[in-house]
Amino acid sequence: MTPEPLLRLASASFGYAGAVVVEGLSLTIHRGEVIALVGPNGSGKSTVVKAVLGLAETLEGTVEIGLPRAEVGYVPQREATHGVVPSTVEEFVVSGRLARAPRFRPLRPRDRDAVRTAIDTVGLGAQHRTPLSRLSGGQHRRALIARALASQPTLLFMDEPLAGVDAESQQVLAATLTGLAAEGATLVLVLHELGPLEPLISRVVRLHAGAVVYDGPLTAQVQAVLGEDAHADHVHDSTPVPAPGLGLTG
Amino acid sequence: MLEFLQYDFMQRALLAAVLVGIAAPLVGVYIVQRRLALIGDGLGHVALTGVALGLLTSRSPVLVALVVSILGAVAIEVVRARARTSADIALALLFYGGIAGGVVLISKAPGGTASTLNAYLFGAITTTSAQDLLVFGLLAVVIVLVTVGLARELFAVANDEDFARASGMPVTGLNILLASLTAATVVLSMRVVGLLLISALMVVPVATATLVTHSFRGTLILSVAIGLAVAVSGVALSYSWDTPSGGTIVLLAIALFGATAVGAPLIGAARRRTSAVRV
Repeated sequence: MTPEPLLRLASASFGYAGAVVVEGLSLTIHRGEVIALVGPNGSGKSTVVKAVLGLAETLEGTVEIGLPRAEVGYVPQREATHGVVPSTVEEFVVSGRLARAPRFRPLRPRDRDAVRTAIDTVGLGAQHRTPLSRLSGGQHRRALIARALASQPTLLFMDEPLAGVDAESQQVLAATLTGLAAEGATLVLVLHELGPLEPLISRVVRLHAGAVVYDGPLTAQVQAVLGEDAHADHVHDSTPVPAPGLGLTG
Repeated sequence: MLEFLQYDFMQRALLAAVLVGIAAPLVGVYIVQRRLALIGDGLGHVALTGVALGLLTSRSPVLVALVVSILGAVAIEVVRARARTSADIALALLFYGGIAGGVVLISKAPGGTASTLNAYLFGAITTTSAQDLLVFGLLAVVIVLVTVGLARELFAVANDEDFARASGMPVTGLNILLASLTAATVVLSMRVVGLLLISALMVVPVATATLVTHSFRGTLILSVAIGLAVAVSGVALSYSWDTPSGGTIVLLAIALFGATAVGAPLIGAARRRTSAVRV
């Protein structure tokens, strides 16, 4: 039996302020998949995720999400924001529960339980009353993940979850995502390197210059290309990478 | 010492100060978090056109200012949401147009003297009428109910607008709501603090509270306490010193900020030393 499709992109073009970044993308994501969305810098990975979530423009084509919005989670690329006004880890994570919580009323016990479970899952239980500004970079990343988990998402997008994260937090992240995948969650992970998440990946979608150039299982050949991408990005940083010789096509 | 309490206008001014002292930081905490600390200034400029229109048409300046500043607030949010690259210029045009329109219209209004203008720009405690107080009371109730009732939602949007939008929260609606509450606070505060100084009462108590608090809730509560204290004591001192209420309140608030900025690290260091000795 084919798993239920949760997200369907048909001939979709995405961008910002009318400028196209990703063009003519067609992709279907099914329930239970753990997808690594990979590609060199500037290939449009983050733009795809942002467009699906309504943070970038859909310029052409269609985006269909087969879920209520409250069941879609998002972990952005940057560190958790901690503005001028301080906030604790718990206050920050509660903001991830609001799509499911009642307005103008106190949080229900099940909302509080979901928040507490999300904080404990990422290993920040002891720091739930700590101001965000006192967390390390890796702990920030975990707080971002906890905020996304607080809504108990069925479909979770994570943008570069390993970037700038220490080894301990990477292991916590891998364990957290393994648990989510085991519970049947669908994960879309924008990655530069697979790292400790490699065993989880059921499908790799590689973008290059705004188009899908590979869509299939993780193979040794794909891993070699990912290594080249990571190396090229490391050398050239944000400079667009020339089209690689390995024209992997699914 | 408290003989000023026997005067009706002082009783009204103190009641207005209580309302302003509570409401301004409640709205201010969210606009500070959004890094829009100066939006109150801009809406103060816009409200002046409303005051002038009220005077010119012989309608309540307070109510007309409320309508005009809420329209201005909605316009600001629409510009911010739709024209990000030119938003600052569009906002500047709105703000300058607001104060220029106010000055020109007041000059044509019956009784539109320099002292009338000054009273609205910098606050004048003797000008708070019983009708004003009724409007201020209603505005304050709405501000308190909404900012407390939707505290989690307003915090989420102020803290990370993209995430809130991705979660499916009504971000544009909440932003327009907050901008409208800011406009209501500007109008509520114009008799006591003045249109040019109201932003200070939204921002400075919050800035002071953040020097010693570690949570959003703690900041919310402490900034209201500070706002209340400086607004009421500022009005009382302005009577004793015969100074404009707005300037007196704001100088008090800034003095408290300075004292906290100097004192908080010293107290923290002393506590750490005490803890070290106990260990």
